[in-house]
Amino acid sequence: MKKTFTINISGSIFHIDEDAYEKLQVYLRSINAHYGASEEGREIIADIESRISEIFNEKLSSKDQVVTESMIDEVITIMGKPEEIFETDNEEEEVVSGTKRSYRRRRLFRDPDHRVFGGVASGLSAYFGIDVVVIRLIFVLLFVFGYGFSFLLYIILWIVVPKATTTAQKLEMKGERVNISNIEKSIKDEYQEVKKNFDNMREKTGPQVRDGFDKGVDFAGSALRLILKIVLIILGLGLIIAGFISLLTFLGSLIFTTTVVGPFAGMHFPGAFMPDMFFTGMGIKLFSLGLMLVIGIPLILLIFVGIKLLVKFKTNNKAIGLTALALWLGGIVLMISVGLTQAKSYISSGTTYADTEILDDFDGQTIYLRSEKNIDFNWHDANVDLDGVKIIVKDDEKLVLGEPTLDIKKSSSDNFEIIMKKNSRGRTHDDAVENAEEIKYSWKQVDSLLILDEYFTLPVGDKWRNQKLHIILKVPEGKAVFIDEDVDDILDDVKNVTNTYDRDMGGKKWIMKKEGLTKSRD
Amino acid sequence: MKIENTKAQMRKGVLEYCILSILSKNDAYASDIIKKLKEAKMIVVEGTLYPLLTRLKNAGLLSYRWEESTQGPPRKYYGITDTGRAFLGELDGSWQELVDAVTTVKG
Repeated sequence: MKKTFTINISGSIFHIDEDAYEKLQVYLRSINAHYGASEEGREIIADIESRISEIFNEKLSSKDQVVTESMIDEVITIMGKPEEIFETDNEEEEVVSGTKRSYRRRRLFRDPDHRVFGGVASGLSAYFGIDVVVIRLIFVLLFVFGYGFSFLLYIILWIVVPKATTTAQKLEMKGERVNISNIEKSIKDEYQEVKKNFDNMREKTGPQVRDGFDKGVDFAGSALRLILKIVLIILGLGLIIAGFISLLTFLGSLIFTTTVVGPFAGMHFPGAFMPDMFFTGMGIKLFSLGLMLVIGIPLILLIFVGIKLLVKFKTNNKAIGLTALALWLGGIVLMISVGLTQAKSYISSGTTYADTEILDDFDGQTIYLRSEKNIDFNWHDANVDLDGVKIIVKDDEKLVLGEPTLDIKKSSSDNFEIIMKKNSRGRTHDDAVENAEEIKYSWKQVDSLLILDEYFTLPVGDKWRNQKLHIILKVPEGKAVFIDEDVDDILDDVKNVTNTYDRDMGGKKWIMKKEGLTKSRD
Repeated sequence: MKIENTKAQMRKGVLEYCILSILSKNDAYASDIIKKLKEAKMIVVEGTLYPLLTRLKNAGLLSYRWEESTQGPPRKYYGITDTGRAFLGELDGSWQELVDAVTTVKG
């Protein structure tokens, strides 16, 4: 005993058993997929179905009331296998200008023949005509920089996008090219598909649960595919705009050092954009060029991909991809090699010691440490702010400022003493010492007040060579030092009896006892 | 190179020509056209015919009207248009040229 379904072909009702039904479905689906949802396509399908319905009528009688599998086989023999029918399709029809009657519009499938995982990337590649390597690259980049977003995207696509199994589908996958004028038609077609599936789903009420489930998934898939299409178009536009703005911003920042336009307005870009403070000679230009390539090329690629998503034009993707890669790598190599050659300027370290200076006598046992802001600027002007070193632009000139470090030790004599230790790097030891001597710093003593400048400076035009200034204040035993709040920022691990942190030492008086600095009670 | 493919290619071009020729004599149903083609030993499956007929119709070379049928749904009754006749005339000329050329080459 077999289960039967009731179907409607071309307006006539037929009873059909399940095996025959399956076979017929596969056959019709294949033909449907090939001719698509265009007006002409639907007409062709209607004609074929009408003929099938006639054949059924001829074969059915009071004895044979149900369409069987063998009847379907006969139908296929008479009508022809799908491949045989499609054989006579004319390819010239697709090249005609103006009114193109194309029934082989491109549809998005997963390509199982060229896949790494699920054929998602190769499917996308066939649909958009972009080299599969570029697509995979985008997925990887999105994964690294997008917090794994592309992983989720890939899984979604894997589920939603159907696999191209039949040859008809594989043809469709690579079919007619998609461009703006076709996108509209293409979206309409997908919409028709969705509608058709939805209508089919409505017909399928009743006990065919499995079928209902199938249709449900089909419908969801079609609807999602429609949404995906729209999203991809928006994405294409978005990429173009984002890439373009980023490029403008980046280029602008090279000239103006602070950006005024776009999503990065008001942000500061650190030292990389002031190569002339770190490098000498040709190194500056080469480094800047390298930087522009490394940042600019990916942005240009983004714009390019965005345009391709929207507009169809022939490009030799391989050549473009390779060129872009070569230029980008070239940029990196340039930056690295300039960096390496310039590193020679930093090889040697040299120190000069200024003389120990004995501070003038004054009334009282305590010396008061204070900090003086010797260079006035607001943080907005600080174009570089590395650890302890700032580079600012003042009066059209670039100044290098550094914060000194301060240590407090016990004096071997009865006097307060101050020692300046200047340190710098250079090509050779002598060069390093020369660089160190260039460090400019001043302090002054007014009675019991010792005023230290907040920053040391370099002469205008001197390059940054990791210059450092270390100040040692020597306090005689039995005397004390009061450290102002502002000063504790530059303290550098000052030893004291209570092991108090440098930051907490400010605003207090410290007596140099035999054991070391001790916090005073008053 | 598969011989089947080459044969199919040859048949492809000629099928439309045959359809137009058949219809230039009388109007007919799709099944009639098939019968005539089979009589002429032009091996073709019925399924191939419908796409061709529809395309020819959309190109303005054929027209049809609906005829009621006792055996089921109404059927399309095809006929050739004036444009179709003109088109056919050109194809006749082209066909003759081809035949002459091939005969010369083989001879």
